[in-house]
Amino acid sequence: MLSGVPFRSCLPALLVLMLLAVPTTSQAQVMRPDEAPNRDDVPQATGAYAIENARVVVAPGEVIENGTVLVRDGLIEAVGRDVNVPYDAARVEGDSLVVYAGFISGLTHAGIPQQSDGEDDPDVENPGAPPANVAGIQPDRTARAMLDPAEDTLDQLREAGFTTAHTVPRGSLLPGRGAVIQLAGDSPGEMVLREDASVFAQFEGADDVYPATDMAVIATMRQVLRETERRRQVRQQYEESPRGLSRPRYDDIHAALLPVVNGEKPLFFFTEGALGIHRATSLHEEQDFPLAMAGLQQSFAATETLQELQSDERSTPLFLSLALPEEPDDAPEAQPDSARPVADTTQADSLAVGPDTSKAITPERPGSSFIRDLRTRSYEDIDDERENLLARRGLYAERYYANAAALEEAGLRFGFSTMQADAGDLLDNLRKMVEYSLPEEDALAALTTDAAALLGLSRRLGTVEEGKIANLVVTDGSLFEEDTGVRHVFVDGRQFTYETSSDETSSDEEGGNAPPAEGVDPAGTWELEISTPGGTQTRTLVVEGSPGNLTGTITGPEGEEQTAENLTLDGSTLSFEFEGGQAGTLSVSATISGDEMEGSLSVPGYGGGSLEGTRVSGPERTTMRD
Amino acid sequence: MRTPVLLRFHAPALPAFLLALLCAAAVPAAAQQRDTPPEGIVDLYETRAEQNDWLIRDATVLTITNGTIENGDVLVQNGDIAAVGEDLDAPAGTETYDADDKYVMPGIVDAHVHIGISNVNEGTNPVTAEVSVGDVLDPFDTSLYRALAGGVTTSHVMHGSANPIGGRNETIKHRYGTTDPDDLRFEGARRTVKFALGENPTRVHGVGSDIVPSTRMGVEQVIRRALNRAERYAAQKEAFQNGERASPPEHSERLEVLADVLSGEVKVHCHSYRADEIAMLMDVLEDFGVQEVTFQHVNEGFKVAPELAAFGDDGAGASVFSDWWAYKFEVYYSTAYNAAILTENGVRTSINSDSGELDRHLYHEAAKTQKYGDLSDTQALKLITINPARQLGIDERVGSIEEGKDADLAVFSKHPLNIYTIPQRTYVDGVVRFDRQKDPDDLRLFVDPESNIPEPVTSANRDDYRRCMHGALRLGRFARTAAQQTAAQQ
Repeated sequence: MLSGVPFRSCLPALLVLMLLAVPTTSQAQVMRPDEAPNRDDVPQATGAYAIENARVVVAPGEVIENGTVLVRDGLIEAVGRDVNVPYDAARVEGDSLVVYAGFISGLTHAGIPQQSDGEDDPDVENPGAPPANVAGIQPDRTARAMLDPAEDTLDQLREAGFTTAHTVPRGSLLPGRGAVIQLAGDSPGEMVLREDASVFAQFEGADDVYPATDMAVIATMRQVLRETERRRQVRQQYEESPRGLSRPRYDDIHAALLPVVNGEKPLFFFTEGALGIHRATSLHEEQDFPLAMAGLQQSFAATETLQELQSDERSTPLFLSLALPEEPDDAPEAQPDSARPVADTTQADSLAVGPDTSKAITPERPGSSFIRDLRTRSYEDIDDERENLLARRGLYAERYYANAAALEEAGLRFGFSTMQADAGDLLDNLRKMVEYSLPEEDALAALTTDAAALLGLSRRLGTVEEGKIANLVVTDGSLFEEDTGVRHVFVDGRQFTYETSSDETSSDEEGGNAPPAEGVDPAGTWELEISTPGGTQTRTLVVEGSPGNLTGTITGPEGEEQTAENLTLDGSTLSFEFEGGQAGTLSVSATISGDEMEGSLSVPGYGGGSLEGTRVSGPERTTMRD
Repeated sequence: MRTPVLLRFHAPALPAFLLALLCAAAVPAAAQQRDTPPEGIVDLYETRAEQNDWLIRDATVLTITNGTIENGDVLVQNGDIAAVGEDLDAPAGTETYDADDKYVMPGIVDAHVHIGISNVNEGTNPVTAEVSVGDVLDPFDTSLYRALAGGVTTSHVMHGSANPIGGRNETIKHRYGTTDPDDLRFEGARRTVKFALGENPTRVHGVGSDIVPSTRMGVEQVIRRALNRAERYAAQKEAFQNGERASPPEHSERLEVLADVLSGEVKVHCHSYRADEIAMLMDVLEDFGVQEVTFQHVNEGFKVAPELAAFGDDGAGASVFSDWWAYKFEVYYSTAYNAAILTENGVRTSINSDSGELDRHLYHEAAKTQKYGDLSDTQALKLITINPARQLGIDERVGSIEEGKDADLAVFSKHPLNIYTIPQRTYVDGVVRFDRQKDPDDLRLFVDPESNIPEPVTSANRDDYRRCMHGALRLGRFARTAAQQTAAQQ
């Protein structure tokens, strides 16, 4: 099919086609070499890739340095140091890159379109017995049938390194059946790994109609499960001896739950709260169906229950949410002591026992019915109370961060769920969990091998090994380093390439200075306006030299000169220090854009200020002089 | 979403928490914001040995069923009352609580409250016997602790009164400190279901949804129809078991429960105010052969006290407010003498709270029957101990201080009917769950990391707001609309 057409020569043309045909996001440039608009006219790529000279993390804890991964026709063809790269493979320079197995999400709605609005207020005659679809009893629906390969949610998850996911329909208590899918494909059929993987369940009521509350949701689940069991028995009886028996009625809802009742498929619960974990577990123990759970954000308050779910021959799949709580923006300084005045009114009460202990009526005082109370009343020290409340809240936020480590410590096997997590936060949250003591290898296992095992896909997915599906994530450093970005993702051997954010905006974390952004030269004379809590001042900054070898002089309002210390340019960010008199050494960091600079300065022990600058002359480039 | 020096935590779950704490201490950045916790912060997950052996010494012991012992001792072993008397000997090493000048009474039993649960009303259908508040217990509710601070150790947590036949109730013990809902259950307590008469169900369904019932007549018909269906359902099941029917009837969680009501396994607790509707429900239950019922609220119970006493094999129970009325039309004809009149007529009577606030001073509520009705100390205290225990089918376990019963005890600074008394300690199963000397400022078991400080108080999280109609569908809408209007005005 490709005979006579050198592969490399058609690649640029393909790229152009791809860029025209495929809508691209600002973040990601997507290459789909095998996805030409017309397969008859345009020669296809072979689908062979070689990622060369990369650090290959075959499985958690198993690393090949300077290895090559050869991908062909959707599978991993070879992995190792001495892999011969065939003539037809597209080469991916892997120097300084790391190859991981593609990540697996245990629960998501990715690929399932949002239900359109307008249908959410159906006219229900009897709110106590609404139609099944209004009540949310819809296990007859399937994610497979709803799947839309063009959904943005698929791209977002993939860009975070996820290649496979268990995706489920949206809805309330029983929204439908889940499918395990590959996170790329031209058609739903192409994406599906397992079309009917689970029956999705959650403690979500139907608002204004039955079942509105969690207790009615639970009662409804019992009802449909027990009725399914009854129908199973009746059906069995009928099939053995139909004569003289009424024909059992078939319906989609109970038929869909039959595999759950038969123990063949899990009822897969999404629950973030500890209460939901207990409730799902109780239902599972009472009704004896296979259980799986995802979310589990408050599992720190249900560890024992989860341990029981993975003991005594039970191996309940668990998927921890990659969403973490966000601290509210109410830092102490944000709120004035608004409650202070309360003390005035209460202190007027002569019986109040406050700091003024002369008013205390103590048991020592004969005839008193009051007992001296030594506790600090909240209205007397609102600041202390507030501090306590903030501290406790912070402690609980940390419980969430340390939850993954706690599950690991409790001996539980878990994967991750991306349900209700912002795709852009996934890797940052994962790193936070690692920061809070989740071992890196265990984090990686939860993303790959353990998740594959919990979904029953270990033979096909989870590691970078010959013969497995070519689901790969290629990063520009260790996954657990803060600045590491995803550079390539392979799904079924299909390549997606991403520009990491560090390509666009420079970063100056310990990793050395990034090369200066194109066109940025700080040389010249700058008028600076510095605003601090103490007022606004002006300075003149003269920068000389070339990027990498810059010097600068700062002139104060009275004409006093000093050297700008540690003057460096990192990308478009100019940093330097100077003496600010009584204020001590001031550190400036400002971003240059054309002839403007804008940034901040820090004043030791004082907080900070802002800085704006305008270039009044220069830059005097040597090239211009020539 | 959702805390303790004196609170228990499951030992096996502890390592995870410790780990979390250790991690928190070991990590940089975010954690360093509070590397020195402010003084006074109490981490309620802090473990405490689950001490359930005690010798409570030299107290005035109000046994309720066997008189009062001055300078009495109560020996608690393994969570049970091992001995009651004077100058008891305890095994070596038993911790002693010197209760000199103090009073010990049985832990208070609240026969009607809506705390410690996630939902109160499934108000979408007039009959919802299939739902159960026992499925949605919430051990994180701080109301459980606050009730302990009023001497309450057991509560009958009820479904609301939106429906003529509501959901099942759950009897719980206030084992505050656990995070497992199942640990709250009062094992072996009688199963009960909520019925409701009068204005609440007619307002929710008749006015709200324009369906039956709109009137008291309709309420009766809804109940009769449901019980009729349950009779037929039970008959069909029996016929299948006897081989008279080829297949079992379509499964119904709702009718299963109602069939259990008819068989006497599930006991009816019926929200009611007016004498006529109380008489009506007694007629209905008699027609279906149901022998037991406890009426809740029963504000006009004083009008039908002899009839209540004569109901069924053992009389109907009445669980009343001391002096709470006039909050809607059907509750105007009321008297503070209700409890005393019912008691003197031989009706098994209790005083309940129906409120996460009022349950903290049920001993005051009981004392009111001495001003309004001259009940004796023991008669008054029975209203909040052994009587509600009998109504709930747990009187073999709690409700009095007797050898062999659960060590659910409340210690007061003065006689519990004294207006100046202050609860000192509350024991549940011999474990100190409240101690005035170690009462943390912040007793939450769960803190929402995304909550604002201070947390705004709304109708949704106000303890005393959780009453019979909490979460009822139409009221819910009114409340939402009102809240939106308020927000818009501001």
